[in-house]
Amino acid sequence: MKKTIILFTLLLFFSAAPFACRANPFKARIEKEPSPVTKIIGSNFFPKIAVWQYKLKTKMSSLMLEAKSSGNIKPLLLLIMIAFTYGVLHAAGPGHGKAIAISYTLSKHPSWLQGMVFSTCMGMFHGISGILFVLIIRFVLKTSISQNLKTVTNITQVSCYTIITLIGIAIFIHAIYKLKKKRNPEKDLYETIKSEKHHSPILLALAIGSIPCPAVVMVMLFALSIDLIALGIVLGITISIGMAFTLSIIVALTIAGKKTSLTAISKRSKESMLIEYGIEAFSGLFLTILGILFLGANLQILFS
Amino acid sequence: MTKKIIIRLTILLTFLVPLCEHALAHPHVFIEQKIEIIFGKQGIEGFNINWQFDEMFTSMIIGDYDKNSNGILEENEVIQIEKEAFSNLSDFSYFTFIKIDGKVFKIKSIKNFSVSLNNNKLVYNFFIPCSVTATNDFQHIIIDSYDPSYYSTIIFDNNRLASLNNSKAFEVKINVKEDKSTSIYYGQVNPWGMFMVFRIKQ
Repeated sequence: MKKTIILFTLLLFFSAAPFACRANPFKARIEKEPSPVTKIIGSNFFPKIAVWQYKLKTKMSSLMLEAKSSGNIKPLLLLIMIAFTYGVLHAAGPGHGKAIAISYTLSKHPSWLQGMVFSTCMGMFHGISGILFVLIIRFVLKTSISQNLKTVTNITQVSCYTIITLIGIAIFIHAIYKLKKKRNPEKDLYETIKSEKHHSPILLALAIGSIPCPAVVMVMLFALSIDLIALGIVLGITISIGMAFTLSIIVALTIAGKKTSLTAISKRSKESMLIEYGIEAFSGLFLTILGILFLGANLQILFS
Repeated sequence: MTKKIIIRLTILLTFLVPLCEHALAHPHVFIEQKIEIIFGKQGIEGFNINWQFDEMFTSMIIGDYDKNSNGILEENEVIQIEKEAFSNLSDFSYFTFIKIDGKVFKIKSIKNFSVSLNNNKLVYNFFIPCSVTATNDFQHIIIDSYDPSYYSTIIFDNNRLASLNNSKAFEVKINVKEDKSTSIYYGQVNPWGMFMVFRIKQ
C-alpha cells in the first residue's frame, strides 16, 4: 500500500501536465507555425475529458436558456450539479497549476488542513478572478472581452510566474542552506522540521488563481447575454468549487505520498535528512524552472 | 564546473521557452466540424469547412462584435470578426493539417469566409483550395483537425462526418478516426482525422 502511494506520488509529480492558460489562438499571434510533437504517452484520457466537458457545457447552456424562457428556477439544482462536475473535469484536464501545487506541496510540509486551504484557495481564486474580470470589463470599462482576456491573462501570467519563480528560488536556497547546516544528531527529523517556520501558501494560491479561468469567463458571458447575471455568478462559483475539489484531491494524494515515504525511512538517519531536503531542493528548482519558462513565454507574447 | 552547468542550463531554458508558448492549455472552446469535399473534372479542388461553435464561445464573439445587438451579423461586423477572430488562425493552419500520399500540404490561403448564427451558435464557413488530380490508382489523403495549442477542441459532427460534392466520376472511401500517427499537447492527445482514398472510377 505504502509502495503504491509512493509510486503514485512520483507518477503524479513527473507526469503532471503543463499548467496555466494558453492565449486564445483566435487572437494571439505566433512567430512560427506549430508542429505536432512525437507521441510520448499513449492516452485517451484528455480527449474523453474534452468530450464530457463539451456535453456538460451544452447541457448547461440549454438549461440556462430553459431557466430564462420558463422564468422558474426548477433546473437550478441540476445546473449546479452540472457546473460542479464541469469544474471537476475541467481541472482534471491539462493546466490549472497542478504541477505547481504538487511541487510546492512536496517542497513544504503542509498539514492536511493547510494543504486543503491551499488547493481550495487556488481553485476558488482562479474562478472568482474570471467572474470579476467579466464584471469589470463589461460594467466598468465597457470594452471588448475577447481582446482584454488575452491582455489580462498575459499580464496576470507574467506577475504569477514572477512570484512562482521567486518562491522557487527561496525554497531552493532554503533547502541548500539546511543541507549544509550542521544539525543536532540527537534531534528527531520531524522535530527539526516542525520547529521551522511555515509561511502561508495563500500568496502562491493567489498568484496562480489570479489568472482568470476562460471557462468561467465564458459561462459568465453566456449568462450576461441572457440577462441572468446572478445565475452566472452562482455557476461560476460552483465551477470554482469543482476545480478546487480536484486540486484538493491531488494535493491530498501528494501529502499522503510524502508522509508515507518519509515515515518509511529512518527518522534519525543522516540519509533521511538528505532525502527530505533533497526533495525540497528539487521541488524548489522545479518551481523555479517552470516559473522562468512560462515567464519567458509570456514576456515573449507581451512584447511581440 | 558550476559555470559550465549554468551555461548549459541557460541554453536549455532558451530552447524550452518558445515551446512553452504552445503548450499551456486545455479546451475552452468546442467546435463541431463538417467537411465537404469539392470535386472538379480532374479530381479534388478543395474542402469546404463548416465550424459550429458552442453557445458560450458564441456569446463572447457576439457580445464583442454584434455592435447593434440585433442578433444578426451584418457585413461590417463579419469583416471585423474575420479580421480579429479568424485571420489569425493562418498561424495555426486553420486547425486543418492535410497530408497527400504522406506529403504535407501547406495551406497558403482560404476563400469565401462567412459567419452566421444557427440556433444561437456561431458558424464559420470557409473553403480551403487544395488541388489533387485523380489517377487510376488510389491516392491517400488525411485531414487532421486540431488546435495545436489545445485551447479549442474539434469534434466531428456525428450526423454528417463528411460529404461529397460532384464526385460521380470518382471512387471515394472515407473514414473518420483518431490519427494515431499525430499527437499534440506533449503527446497526450491524438487528434481526429479524416482518412480518405480516391481514384478515377474504373
